[in-house]
Amino acid sequence: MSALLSLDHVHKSHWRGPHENVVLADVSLHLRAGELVAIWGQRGAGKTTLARLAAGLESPDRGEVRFRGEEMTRTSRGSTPLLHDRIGWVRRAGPGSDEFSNIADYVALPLLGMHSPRSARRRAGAVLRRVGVSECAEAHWKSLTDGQRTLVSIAHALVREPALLVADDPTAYLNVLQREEVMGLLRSACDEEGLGILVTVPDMPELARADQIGSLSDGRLVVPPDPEPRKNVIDFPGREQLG
Amino acid sequence: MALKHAVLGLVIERPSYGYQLAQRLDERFPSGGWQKAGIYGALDSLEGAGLVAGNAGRRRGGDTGRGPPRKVYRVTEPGRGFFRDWIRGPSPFSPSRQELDMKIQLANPELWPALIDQSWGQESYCIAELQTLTRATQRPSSGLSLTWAETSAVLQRNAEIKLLEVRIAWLQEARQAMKLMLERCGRAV
Repeated sequence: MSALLSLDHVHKSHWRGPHENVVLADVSLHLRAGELVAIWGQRGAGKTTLARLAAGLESPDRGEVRFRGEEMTRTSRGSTPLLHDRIGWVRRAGPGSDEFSNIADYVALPLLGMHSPRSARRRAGAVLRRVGVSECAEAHWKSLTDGQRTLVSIAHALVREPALLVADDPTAYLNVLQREEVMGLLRSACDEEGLGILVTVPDMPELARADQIGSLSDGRLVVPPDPEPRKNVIDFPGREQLG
Repeated sequence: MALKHAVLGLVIERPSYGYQLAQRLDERFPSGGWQKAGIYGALDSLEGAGLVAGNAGRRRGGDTGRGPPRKVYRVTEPGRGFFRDWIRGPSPFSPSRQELDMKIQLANPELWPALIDQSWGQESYCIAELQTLTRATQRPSSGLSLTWAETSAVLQRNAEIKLLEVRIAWLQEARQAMKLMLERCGRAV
């Protein structure tokens, strides 16, 4: 089975004036459908940059990011790339304005243009039920708890039925039970729906549900030598080999 | 990690009497748990191997004092070479006493690049341990409401994972500090 998402020898720097800050240096990562990959890193380690590159929201300076074998479209500096319609991006910031009368409308938004408003809303309701927050459908973003906001954000990313879900730090602000439940939800999306998921986390216990784990520091990705000792590469066995 | 490496590192820093070395060892490695008597054994062993030389110093209580003259221990050239080899050698991960931490305390900046490499190696080891740990623990059901049995299993798993997380975070910080200090000194890492 070929990789759903591949990052090959990716380099990325951020510039502040003449000063180069190397965020990712020769990072490679391969993720297949049905797999959950979790990357841990401290503040400023480059987790968000890695997640944005994986979702196609940023382009690498060098190296390749491929989704289903096709290289992500490179965007010129300053332009905003469009999210691929089969990639879900968990955006914890919420609607960003009060224009949405309620959560069901917000979650239905990515479907408008593809479905009628009624159908979009029906699908939004179904995905809110799927993630366990159907009671929030008529509520406003401001009235939600941190845990509900995370789950609604996941619903918003799942509503278009993506093949790949990228979640940058989805467990921030959550207590231990909520963190476990969110990771359990992502795990079940992999197992039951065959989704590929890349998630970044600031706390190591959240790595426990992943098929593969990595630690990001100084631009390098440290991964376990299992299944094969390869430097800076996450490559995965098929699900059947994971036991 | 042997006591003799710590004692040798301290002698390289500054020639000292045995008693002074015992005090400095306590200050630098308060959780080392070494017995003072063990330091004299380590010094005898180092001297016997020609790694340090003990020269007669002043008597206790000054020149008119009683008792044998105290020895001042200084490092020999073979001793410096032995210490460098130890710094550059592997640092096995041990939850109770960290050899790498001691090396970082005692090594000169010229040897830090070797320790930066070792920090990567130890981080990889910890990540592999973490993977073994997470694969061995039972995954709770994927439901959104955990039972107490599942929650308590999660807490136990997290306790073990957090120990590794602290270690990895510390390795990254130590590596970053060494790199920044080397950059300030204008050395290429």
